[in-house]
Amino acid sequence: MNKLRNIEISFVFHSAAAAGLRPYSETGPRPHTSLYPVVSEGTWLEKNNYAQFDGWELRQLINFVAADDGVPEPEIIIEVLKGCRNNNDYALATRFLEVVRLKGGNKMSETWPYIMQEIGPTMQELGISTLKEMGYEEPELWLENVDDM
Amino acid sequence: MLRCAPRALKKQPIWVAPSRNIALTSVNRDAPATTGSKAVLPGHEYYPGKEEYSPVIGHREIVGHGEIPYYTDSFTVPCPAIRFREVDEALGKLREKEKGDWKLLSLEDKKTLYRASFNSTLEEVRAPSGDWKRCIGDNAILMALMFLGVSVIGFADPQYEPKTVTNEWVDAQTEYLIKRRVQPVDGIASWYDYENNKFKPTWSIFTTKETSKSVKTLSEKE
Repeated sequence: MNKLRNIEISFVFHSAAAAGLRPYSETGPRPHTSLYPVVSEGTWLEKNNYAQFDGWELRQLINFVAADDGVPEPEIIIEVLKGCRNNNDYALATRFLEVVRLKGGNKMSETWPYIMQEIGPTMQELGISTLKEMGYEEPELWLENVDDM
Repeated sequence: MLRCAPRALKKQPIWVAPSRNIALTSVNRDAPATTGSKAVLPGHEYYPGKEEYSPVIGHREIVGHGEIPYYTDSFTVPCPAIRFREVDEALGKLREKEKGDWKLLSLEDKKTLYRASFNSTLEEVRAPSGDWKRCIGDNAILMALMFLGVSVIGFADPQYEPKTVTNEWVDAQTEYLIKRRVQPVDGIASWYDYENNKFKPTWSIFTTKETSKSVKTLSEKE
């Protein structure tokens, strides 16, 4: 996987298709697309401008990403982070990044560095610090389980 | 038919939903709090229905979907309907700072902002609780108590001793067997010397201090 990190997105996903992975935008229609008329032209991102979503819709989208079976593409992640910036919500951005990292599952060590490589510039622009800097890649506090109280 | 009659006579009241004077409250409280000169901390803005929700969530801000908003930490629903903490003065100032450039926020500010919206990180949700140690430990304690009871109480009480193990019974048993000359080829009668009325030397491997006494008495009898 070290060799594939510096190659374009399309090539990565074409090779990954052999392993059973495919890009997020090719998986099919989503609930958010039903608000817009079906247009054959234009990419999925242009139809849904996530950067102009308000807090409510962003949280719906993030909950959907957590429930869906796949890791979102860096373009979508960048739009969501811009949406968090427009809503002045920093905590939501870190939460979303945690979700994206954990969606990798057993392949977290392969997907997460690639995604950090792609969204690194945007994060520096917006001023979001990485999960490693915040210390949220490991558990920070021990919180008592409700069942043990 | 006769059983149904008294029920038919009783008039059951029709259930009516508890009605609030919606028209009056909407007129009285329609004005948002920012029209006055008092500045409101971000997060304490007014919305219709805020007082009805306060026994459920307190003064926390509703941010997401949920008819009955409550807070949970989970990987499947990472963004719950409400923030976790209520807004104080310090947090209000942080929120104002958050509207500006995020590069000016320090790491502590970012962590307090996160903990204000969320109780635990998703890594903390995944962290193991170590409950298996408690389960195995409790079971080990119970098993130890059981072994203690069986070994000390079970064997100490003479009621639980079978009577066939006592020396008296075994002596009477051996006397009977020798008299009947059972197992003359390979067993007990082959180990007894009937001419001299004593056991052959190979019997010594079956004897202890106590049983050797009974063997003496047996050979002295005859």
